[in-house]
Amino acid sequence: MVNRFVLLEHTADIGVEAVSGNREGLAEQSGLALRRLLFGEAAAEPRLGPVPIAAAGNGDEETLVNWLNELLFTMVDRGVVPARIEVSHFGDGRIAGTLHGEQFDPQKFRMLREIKAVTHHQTRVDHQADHWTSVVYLDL
Amino acid sequence: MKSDESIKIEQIDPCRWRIPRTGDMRTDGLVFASREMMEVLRHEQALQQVCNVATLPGIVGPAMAMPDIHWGYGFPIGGVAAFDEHDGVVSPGGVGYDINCGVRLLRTNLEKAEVLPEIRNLADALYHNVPSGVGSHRKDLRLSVSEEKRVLRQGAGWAVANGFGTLNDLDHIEESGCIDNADPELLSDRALERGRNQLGTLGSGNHFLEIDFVEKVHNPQAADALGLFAGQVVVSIHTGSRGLGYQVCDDSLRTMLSAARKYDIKLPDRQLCCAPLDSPEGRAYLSAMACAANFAFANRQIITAWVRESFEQILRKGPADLRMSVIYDVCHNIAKWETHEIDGRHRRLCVHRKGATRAFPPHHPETPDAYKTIGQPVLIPGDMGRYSYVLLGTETAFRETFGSTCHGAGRVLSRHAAKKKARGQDIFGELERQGIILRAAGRGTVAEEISDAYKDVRDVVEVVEQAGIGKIVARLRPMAVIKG
Repeated sequence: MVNRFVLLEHTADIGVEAVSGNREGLAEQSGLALRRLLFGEAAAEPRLGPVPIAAAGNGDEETLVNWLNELLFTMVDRGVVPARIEVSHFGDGRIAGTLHGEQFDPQKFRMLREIKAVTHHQTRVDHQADHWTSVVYLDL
Repeated sequence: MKSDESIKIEQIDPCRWRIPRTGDMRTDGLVFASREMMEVLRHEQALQQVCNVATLPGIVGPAMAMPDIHWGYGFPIGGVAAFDEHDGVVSPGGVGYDINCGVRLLRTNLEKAEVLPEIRNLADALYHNVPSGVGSHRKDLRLSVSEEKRVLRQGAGWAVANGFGTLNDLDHIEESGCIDNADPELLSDRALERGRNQLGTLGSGNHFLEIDFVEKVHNPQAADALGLFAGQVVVSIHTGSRGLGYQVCDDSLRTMLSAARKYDIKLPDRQLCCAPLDSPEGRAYLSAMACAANFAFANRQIITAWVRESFEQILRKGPADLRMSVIYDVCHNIAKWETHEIDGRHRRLCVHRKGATRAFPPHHPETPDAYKTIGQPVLIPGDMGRYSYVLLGTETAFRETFGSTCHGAGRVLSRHAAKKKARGQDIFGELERQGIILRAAGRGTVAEEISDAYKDVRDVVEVVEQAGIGKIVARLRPMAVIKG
């Protein structure tokens, strides 16, 4: 199963659909989509120590949104540009992961857009026979 | 989610459409739109969102949408809904992340011809003096936590007390620039942190600062009362509560998701999570929301001061010559306590406006004294390549839409589609050939904000005027646009 994300059309904003063989992969792929939307393809190095990102929620959907908002805060307000995102656990109303990256440097990176938040609108986390899919919408 | 093609819609008149109550809806939907607009709406999800709002407890009157309606989160953009104080709810999704996103209009004593030779310098000065774009801030305005909390309690009044503007400005702002019952102690540390260095910043996306001129006066008497005349230079400011507001909304949504379970409120969309108005969660949200709204009022007030400074600096004129006074400042993402007459009885309601503007009539106690005889000014920005409008509130709006009207043009293209359409276009050059100087942090946002991404705002305000929920006073055309 290939882990991937695609960006979905929304009249004012944008959605993210992630596909993975497991739930953890959904959180990673959705996180990578945020990273792409914020910083584009500019490569980052894992210079900082691992930054733990954890969130809880009621059900997979709420938990995923909360985790992505934590990630968004770390990237935008703490200025950490991810080189990679690793999720060790997604289930039982909890996501735990780490972000490996470097501090935002305006000489190297550009923040391409503002993402106000990851919303709860039409959020889905589904398990099909051999893979998982999720959808979240972002408020830009 | 049900596709909008399957929603039953009845045309009432050329600009009103009823969505009859079905299923879990507690009331009808009422959409203001032309036939052409409705054809487009049937292919997106905004009408379903009107139906979803109609399911919320304690809703009074129909769930409404203004003609700039488009697909949002929870509520549609352009959505208006009122809730009873005793059995109604408050929903952060009915306000949005950018709490008190709004528009302010400043008049000047200047005519287009005398500003034109300096328009590039003015655009550069505004771009330099007013931080715009993602993560921007002024190094000379960083607040301590205690000072930030004073901003949240006092709103635009804090800015004026600290040298950003005059007391007269406050008389020309919705709620005089401060919503009561703001309690900063309810805000998370993260919300405070996100706001601390963002006061006085424009932000990104559809936020802007524009130098416009009055291209056409539709209603000379009202224009005169507002201090507007043909050819006059004015300035529009569109921004909100920045990261602080986004965080207040996000924090509140977490609380409201639990509250909806606690109070057994059935949600057709999690983003509509809510709590009874008369509950600890409902009261806490309104107090936190008031903080963010006050931050936004202060934000626009501080930007106003820097706009005035920029004009003085470039045109080498003093305040008395420029006479840059605030015409009005409106919120378009807010929930507010208001009294409205329902079936002959005055009722206290919590009116949610998400991408909608208050439009109170002449002689309403909350219409500013200066505009008592004409009605509350309503500021409707279009897109950066066309025009914006100044309207007035009406009795019809007060009776029919809880004193509400549209807030802008409304998007028709997704950001991706807009970027695709803009590919290969010299956006800066094309605007310049139309006489519009554009300054922006990057091409990306600008490509998403091209005129084609929006409805023609003229169509929107024409529906508003035809429906009687707003009265057109003047049309403004941009001369310079600052985008984040």
